Amino acid sequence: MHRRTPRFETSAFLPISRQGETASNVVPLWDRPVDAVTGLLEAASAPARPEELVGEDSARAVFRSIMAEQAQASRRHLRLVPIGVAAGSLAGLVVGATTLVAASVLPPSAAPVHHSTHHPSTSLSTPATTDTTSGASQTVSPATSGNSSNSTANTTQSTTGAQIGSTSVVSPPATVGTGPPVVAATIPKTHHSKGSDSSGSGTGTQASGGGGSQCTGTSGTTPTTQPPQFLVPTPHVSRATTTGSGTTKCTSTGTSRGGDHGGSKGSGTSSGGTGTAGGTSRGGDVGSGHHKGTHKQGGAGTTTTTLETIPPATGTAVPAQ
Amino acid sequence: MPSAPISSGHTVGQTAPDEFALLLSAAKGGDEESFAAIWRRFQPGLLRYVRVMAGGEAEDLTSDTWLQVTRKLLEFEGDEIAFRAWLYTIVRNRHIDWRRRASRRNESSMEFEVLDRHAGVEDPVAVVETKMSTDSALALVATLPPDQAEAVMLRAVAGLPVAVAAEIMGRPPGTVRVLCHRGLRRLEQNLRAASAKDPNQSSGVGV
Repeated sequence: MHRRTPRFETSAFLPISRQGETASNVVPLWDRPVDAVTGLLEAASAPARPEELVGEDSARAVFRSIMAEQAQASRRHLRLVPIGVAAGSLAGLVVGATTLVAASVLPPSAAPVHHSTHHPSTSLSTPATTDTTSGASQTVSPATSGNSSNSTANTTQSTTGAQIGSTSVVSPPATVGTGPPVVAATIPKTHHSKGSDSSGSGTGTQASGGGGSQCTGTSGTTPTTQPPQFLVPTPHVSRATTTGSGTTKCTSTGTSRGGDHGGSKGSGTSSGGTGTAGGTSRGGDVGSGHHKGTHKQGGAGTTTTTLETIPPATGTAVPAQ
Repeated sequence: MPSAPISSGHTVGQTAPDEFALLLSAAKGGDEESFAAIWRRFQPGLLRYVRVMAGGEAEDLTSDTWLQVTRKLLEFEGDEIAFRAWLYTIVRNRHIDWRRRASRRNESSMEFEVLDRHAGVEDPVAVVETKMSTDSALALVATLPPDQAEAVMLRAVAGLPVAVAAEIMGRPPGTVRVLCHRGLRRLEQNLRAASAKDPNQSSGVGV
């Protein structure tokens, strides 16, 4: 037998029906046991009894412990923040001081070729010279600092047998200039060179003397007989010169970035026959930059490679030598 | 529009919205008394819900739930309904985990535990007929199929709207409505059967 559920407000049964519940959603209304169901629901949702609140003390204890734990963690975090800041500052200070001391203690540059032009007002010269000669590794990183400067140089050379000669890499580091950037790359005759140059960077190219030699970089093709001249937004001039004899294959890539704050980082690898030589120098008066060079050298002879970063004083184009 | 909770006139732990907001804010600030006030308001309903669903494990499950609530209290944002939903969601998840563990241990069915624990007699209807206490009412609700019992408890005891109850149960609101309706109808049928046995006490239950 099907009995239809009457659909009307349940206010006679459930107080909550004032909010719109209808009988069909809540309780069957067609019989008296509805009162019993209502009573059942009332009993099920009766106010708290004492035995249901016996766990209050333990809940309070848990609350206390967790809140104390969270507060302690918060305090610990707050303490660690200034410690971290102080540690970072200290580390930076130590690194800076160490660099300054190292730069000032080392002897002045014995670079065979070094050209540097500085801005008249703010330029600071910090040449970094790497001189590698026939199995010997020498690193010279003099620093002449006025305001701030740093210079580092690393050279690695491995020479065996066939390589006779020397390779010098001079990478004067950062100079400070304000003029328009100029990059000049000088390639002696009979050399092909590609110099790289990116925004605000100067590229030094590599040349080698002697028989046929070739220098390649990453960008910018330099004629073999014409001194290349790049105008790029950098205050630096990088110059590379390699002299010697024999067959030398050179690859030089590098960038030097900087505006008023400039820097230079150079690295070079020279290999001749079975030997390799490389060097990295980086210096900066105020800023940073890098210059990389790779040189390969074959045959006998003496090869000298010089990489320079020369910021122009006036910002005009500086022709390569 | 979410429907209003089914209630017999009062829901366990119901507080005014402003009052709850104040209590919650103070509890977040570390005020133990405020937290205790919140606990006193919500614990009975929570405990009853878990008793219907899990029987003998109710104390442990609610304690575990409050532990979790205390840990995450600072992260909670919402009104009283949201808090209630959060509370019941936590305890429900704990209950599901407990059931999984229990099934792995091949323990007896939860429903029988609930029945035995709360009725204390063979026929819970008989208890309801003689004295409608909270425990006996919960025992009667516990005789329902689990999903119906849960729907009734969330709607009638916890006082949650259909939408919130549906969200907690992971069911569509329409399904929750149907479950609740069927559960109440079954309760009514049980009570009718009891009244048929003894016409003198037919509708006197629950009063």
